[in-house]
Amino acid sequence: MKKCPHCHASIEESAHFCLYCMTSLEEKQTVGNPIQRRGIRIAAIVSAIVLLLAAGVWLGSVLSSDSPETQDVTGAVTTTTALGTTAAPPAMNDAVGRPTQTTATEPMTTISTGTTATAASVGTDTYTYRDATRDDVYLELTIALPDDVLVITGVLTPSSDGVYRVPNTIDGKRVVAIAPEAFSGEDVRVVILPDNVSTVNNGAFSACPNLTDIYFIDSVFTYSEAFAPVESRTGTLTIHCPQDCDNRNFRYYRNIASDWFGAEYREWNGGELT
Amino acid sequence: MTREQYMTRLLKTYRLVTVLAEKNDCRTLRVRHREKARDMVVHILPAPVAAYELLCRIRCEALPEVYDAITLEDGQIVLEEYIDGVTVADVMAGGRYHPRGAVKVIKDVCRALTVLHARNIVHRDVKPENVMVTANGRVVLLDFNASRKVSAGSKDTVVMGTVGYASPEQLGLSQSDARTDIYAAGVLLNVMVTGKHPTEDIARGHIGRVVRKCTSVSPNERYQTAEALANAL
Amino acid sequence: MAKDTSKIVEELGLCDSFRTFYDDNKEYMVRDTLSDLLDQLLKSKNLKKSQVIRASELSEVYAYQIFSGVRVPERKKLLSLAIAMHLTVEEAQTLLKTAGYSTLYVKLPFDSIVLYGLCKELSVVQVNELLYEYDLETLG
Repeated sequence: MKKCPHCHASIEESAHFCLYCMTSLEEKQTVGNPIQRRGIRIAAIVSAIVLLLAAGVWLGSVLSSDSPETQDVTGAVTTTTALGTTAAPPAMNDAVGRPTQTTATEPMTTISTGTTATAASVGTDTYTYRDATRDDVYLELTIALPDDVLVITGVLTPSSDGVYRVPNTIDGKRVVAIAPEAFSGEDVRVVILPDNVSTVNNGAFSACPNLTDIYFIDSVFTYSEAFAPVESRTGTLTIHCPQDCDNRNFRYYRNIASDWFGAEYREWNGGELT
Repeated sequence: MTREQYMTRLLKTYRLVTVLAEKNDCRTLRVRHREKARDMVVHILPAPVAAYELLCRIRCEALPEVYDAITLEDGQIVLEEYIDGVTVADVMAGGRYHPRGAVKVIKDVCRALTVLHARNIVHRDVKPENVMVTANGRVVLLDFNASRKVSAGSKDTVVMGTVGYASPEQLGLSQSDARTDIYAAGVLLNVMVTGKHPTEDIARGHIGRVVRKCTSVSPNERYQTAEALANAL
Repeated sequence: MAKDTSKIVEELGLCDSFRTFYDDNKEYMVRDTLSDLLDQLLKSKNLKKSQVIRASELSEVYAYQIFSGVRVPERKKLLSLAIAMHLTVEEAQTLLKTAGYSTLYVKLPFDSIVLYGLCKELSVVQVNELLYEYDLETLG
């Protein structure tokens, strides 16, 4: 048995992968030239047509059938949800996921539950989170059942300067992932991820051509298509993280990151943004 | 440790999302890390498949990343990247491929095959259900359950692969090698463009010529490498 | 405005011509296509398509194809959507019927677990875990 260098769990001697923290234990060789996804994708036009048709219908229904969630931003909201009735108490809001802060002592954030006409919306509670240091950023989150963790699913009110600080916990629930398409199409320039966020799903930041900086303090697994398509990016992407951040998953993207994300790395250990 | 013991341990950290496939004693699951909300594929196999161990050390965009291949008393468990997309078979349900789209997919499949063949692995089950396309256009060749490490001189005694895509040698005439996959890739290309097997309805023009060459009965008359096939397209 | 199915069946037995029966009852007939019905359900329950798809654990592309009517899904996958949308048992049965599938039959183990999931508003993942526990085929 040996110890995983990242999470210190004890794993098999011959293991190539630590299944507790989902990090690979060795450097991998990249083979087969990365696909050039440049310019117009002539590729798979027929399947793309199918997708476009679906997207067209989807777009139509988004515009007509999805009603905006009503929300009470400042105060408590009681809603009946799949999990029963909950009351979200108003509290001082700390929007920042500061790496040094443990979840136990983090002050409660102001949340309001997205109300819907029916008892449950997809078996999840929809939370709306407002960054208290500024008036404009409203993130939408859902609870991922059955583990009771929060996942960022979208942006309700975009940030005026493109800066998004993702909260570490909300009401005691950890924010662990960014769902597919969460920030897609938004004018995101800077994203700050706290230590609880460990997964950025495919398409999370797709169609975000102005994304220039990402900050994170602990290992984050970024799916290979989190930032696709690459060619829409206007500048280089800078990734800020601690030097010793044993971020193996991101690291072996590092070798091809410049091909796939056009990313550079800069050391950051929390605190002031550089 | 048995596979069951390993799975019990695994399921403490992960939860089952769905069973993806279950055929001839091979089970494939999709699981999710409870804390990280990140998905992974788990293959539970009755006997070790050599291909997986080799793929552990590499990353290829056209192949699912293999995180680990664990050999146990009664078989093997493989942890692999979960890829969210649709298979070519699913896309075909909505119509046929435009020749250029099909060529793009086959070229990516050839990239995957080149990587496998370079390590003496023959896939042996190249077919629409095993080629996945993601929303961002990444093409991935899946499912190595039928694959085998090729060693000179041995003869295939077990018939693997799928009828229609199986080359003559897979059906027992001689040993299968890299060119077996070329055959299947040719059939796949044809099916994507015409909707039918080359023996029923062969594609026209240049693609048809390529398909014909891929599906020659004699392996020596086919493209000898996946790269050659890709270049011909 | 619904009419009890048993009453309609009764009328069918008593009518002299099918045409009269049909003209009288056509407003109660299932005419929607599957994708229409899905859109209606999303609307009436105030759900976002993207959320439903995520909760259903189906492939995004596949799911959008279902909603747009490009393909009719397998029964199991349709049930994934039903669970993700938190349909009532009745709504789920109608959905199955519209797609041309057999309705949920509580005496079949698989169906009974799905029914349980609908009644208790479980997630797709929870239902799959139960199905797996009882050594049955999972959804999606």
